[in-house]
Amino acid sequence: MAYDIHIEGVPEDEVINEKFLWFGEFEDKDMLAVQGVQKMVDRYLKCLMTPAGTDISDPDYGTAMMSAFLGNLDPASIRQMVTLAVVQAEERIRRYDVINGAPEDERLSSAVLESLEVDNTSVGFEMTVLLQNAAGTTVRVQLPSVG
Amino acid sequence: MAEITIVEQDRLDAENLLEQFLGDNMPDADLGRGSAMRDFAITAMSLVYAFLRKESDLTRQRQSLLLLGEDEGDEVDDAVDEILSNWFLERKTGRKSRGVVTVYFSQLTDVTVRRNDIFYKTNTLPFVIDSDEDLAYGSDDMVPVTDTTGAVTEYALRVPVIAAEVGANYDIEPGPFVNFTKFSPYATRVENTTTFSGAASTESTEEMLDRAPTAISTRDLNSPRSIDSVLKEEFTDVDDVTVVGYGDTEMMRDLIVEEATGLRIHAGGYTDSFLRSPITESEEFTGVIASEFTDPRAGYYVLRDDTISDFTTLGISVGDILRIYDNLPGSEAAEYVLHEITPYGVMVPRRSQFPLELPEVEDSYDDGEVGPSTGATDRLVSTLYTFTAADVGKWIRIKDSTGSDGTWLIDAVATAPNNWADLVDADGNPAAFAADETGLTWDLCTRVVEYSIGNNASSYDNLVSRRLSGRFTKSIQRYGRVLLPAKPIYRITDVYIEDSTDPDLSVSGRITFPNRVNLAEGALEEPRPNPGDPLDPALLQYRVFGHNPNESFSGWQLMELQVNWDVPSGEENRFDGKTLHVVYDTLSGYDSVWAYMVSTNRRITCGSVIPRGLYPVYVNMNIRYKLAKMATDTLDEDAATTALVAFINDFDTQEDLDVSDIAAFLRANYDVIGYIEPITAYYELLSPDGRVIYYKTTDQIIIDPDKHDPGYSGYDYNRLDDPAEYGVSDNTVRYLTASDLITFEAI
Repeated sequence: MAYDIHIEGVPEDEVINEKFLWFGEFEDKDMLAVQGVQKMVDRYLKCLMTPAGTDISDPDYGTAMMSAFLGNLDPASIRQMVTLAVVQAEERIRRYDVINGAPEDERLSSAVLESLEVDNTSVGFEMTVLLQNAAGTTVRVQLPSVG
Repeated sequence: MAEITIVEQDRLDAENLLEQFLGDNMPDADLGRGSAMRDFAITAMSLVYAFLRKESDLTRQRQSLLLLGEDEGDEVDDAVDEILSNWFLERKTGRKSRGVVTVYFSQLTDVTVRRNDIFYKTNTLPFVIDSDEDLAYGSDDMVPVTDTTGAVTEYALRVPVIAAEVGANYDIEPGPFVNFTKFSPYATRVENTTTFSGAASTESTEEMLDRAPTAISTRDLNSPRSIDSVLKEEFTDVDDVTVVGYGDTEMMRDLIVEEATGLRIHAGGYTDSFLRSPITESEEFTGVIASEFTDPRAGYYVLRDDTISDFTTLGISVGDILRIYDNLPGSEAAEYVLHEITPYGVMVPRRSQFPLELPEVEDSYDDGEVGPSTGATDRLVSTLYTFTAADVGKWIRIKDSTGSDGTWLIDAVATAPNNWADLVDADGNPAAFAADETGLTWDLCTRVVEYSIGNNASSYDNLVSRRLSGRFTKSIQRYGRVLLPAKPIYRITDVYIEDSTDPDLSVSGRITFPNRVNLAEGALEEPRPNPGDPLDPALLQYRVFGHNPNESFSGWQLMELQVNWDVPSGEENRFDGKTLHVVYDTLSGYDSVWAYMVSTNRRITCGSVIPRGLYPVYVNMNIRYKLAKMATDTLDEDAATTALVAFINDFDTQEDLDVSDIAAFLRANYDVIGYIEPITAYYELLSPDGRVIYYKTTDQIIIDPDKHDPGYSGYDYNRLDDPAEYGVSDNTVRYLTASDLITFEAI
């Protein structure tokens, strides 16, 4: 199996402008190589948190989720947009998996928004997504809070 | 730097290539879609890579003339210039149009046209004088213009001009100029009566690339390819070159005909480069009729003698022997075979020419006195020169006298009672000056030519007896004639003498010779006058002699124009001493090409390579046509004439022109023409020997004796039955015409 570079959400206090993803912080290493389920998770998160239209090679890549959080929207609208984004990212990654011929443990089977809490007094949020690969393994992913 | 544009396909191509490359080299990296690795290693780099790849392609394209030829634009032009500069090739900068304007004056005046004076054909087409210096004209340069009653209305002055800029749009049609610098208060208007020519726009990249293959060959004048290349590169006036050399049927300069047996051998070593250059119209030559002109060829071939007025009357024939008595071993030969007999002298072959000009003159004086009043009839007296004993054995040559011309040996000298020299002839007999003459021009000579001519071996003196008065010279002179410039003389459009004093022949201040005829002595042809007829201005004729046909239309051309022959007794010298004006068309820039090719540092050391003009053939025709039934306009005949002139003049030298080509051209470009009557083309070859050969055809316009015009060909002197004998073929002729040679007639 091939390795990908590990990426993860930027911690809440590190968010600057629209930078939501980074390589993480590890002892003695600037970045990690990942494979298997973690690679699937990274790839899903990257798609979910990438603002649509910012990928020069594919303007349709990404979702409107981060825009929903940063925009001046009411919680109900945010929930609707986030739910839609979770589905859009699932479809995009599943399509890529087919193109890439991903192995079972790296192939996304489903993505479900398990929980979403929006702070009405700020732009912060907390959400959890359940991801399952084709091998049947389910992973609960806690997205970093942004606020 | 060129602008590089990246399109989506370029980026996709770059992505695919990077994915392929990185996948091959890093099999453990996940470069699939959606991966972070792809974002960093491929997507982020794809635009940069696409840019570099495009720049690489552009650079590669800029290094390939093949690829550049498929593109266009200023940057392509620059790239082609840069690449070809590696072979020292430069883009031709174009040519300026040339012509002659006629300036009209309200009264006779002296006038100077300055270099910065400007003549405007239109506000955007300025011309300046075609001269490096201001042009000064006297009132006698102006020609009176008369109305129908004969009254002088104004005065005309012809001024050569050149376009201020390069460009074909300066080749203007005849007509008035809209403005000009007021260089004289009496100048009233300016016009051009002939179409200007010679202009060319800056060479296009396509033309430059077409020229390049031959241009990068050897840069010397030693092969057809390199001659073509060098001349086109060095001279913007050279459009094309036809090279004729050893083995070509048109090569006649290397032909040696053995005098006794007639054996013909082509020796090789000669190359003629026939130039196709723009035509410069209305160039003007002036020369004094019957004055001495200089043979333009290198070397000395003429033996003259001031005591013999006409060598052709002495019974001398080609092949007779010229014997030299005082030849110096290692210098002159003792005997020469005569090659040509002319009235003013005899010529020897170029391959056995005289080594130097003789006699050698130590000094010249103009105070000679001879005759009985000097105290003796064999004596020359001078006050300007003091004879000494050292002069005994030298020679004295008297020239330009009434009856004392000749050369004598100084037998004795004295200084009292006056300063004199006793003279004897070649046989030692005392000179006999029967009449007193003073103020004679005389030369003191240290070497003379002592010669005789004959066919009586071995003394060779039965035709011209032994004498001291020979001259090895380049001087050419004959009554009624001028020597034309040594360059391609194409169509002669005007021959005249500015003379308002001749009661019989002067018309509007000029004696004009309107009729060009061929050269047969004594052969009569209308409108030629019979011998004994009174001179008539309308019948005045001129004829042209090409003495060296194999070098005609070149810088060695020896071409004479004669205006007076077969005239009534007493009229033989009527025009001698008058200044003859000859207006002719010629090749633009020929003199420069000639100087370049024969210059000692460029010429081929083992061969004779010279530029020549293609033999001109002038086409004239009357085109009878009907308008198309659906035509909504009439034919613009002036425009059609101009277009047809350009079509014929620009016709590829290597192709045969056909009458049907002309009809097809007119049909294709003028849809108002519904019907063209079968065209008869008349065309005139200006033959290398100076004659005009007349042809007529309804099909191919080619040099074919079968197409001789029956209206002329009844006379041998109008025929050229073997054009190859002069090197004339369709490979070495150039078909030309002019607006005054084309007429349209609606039927």
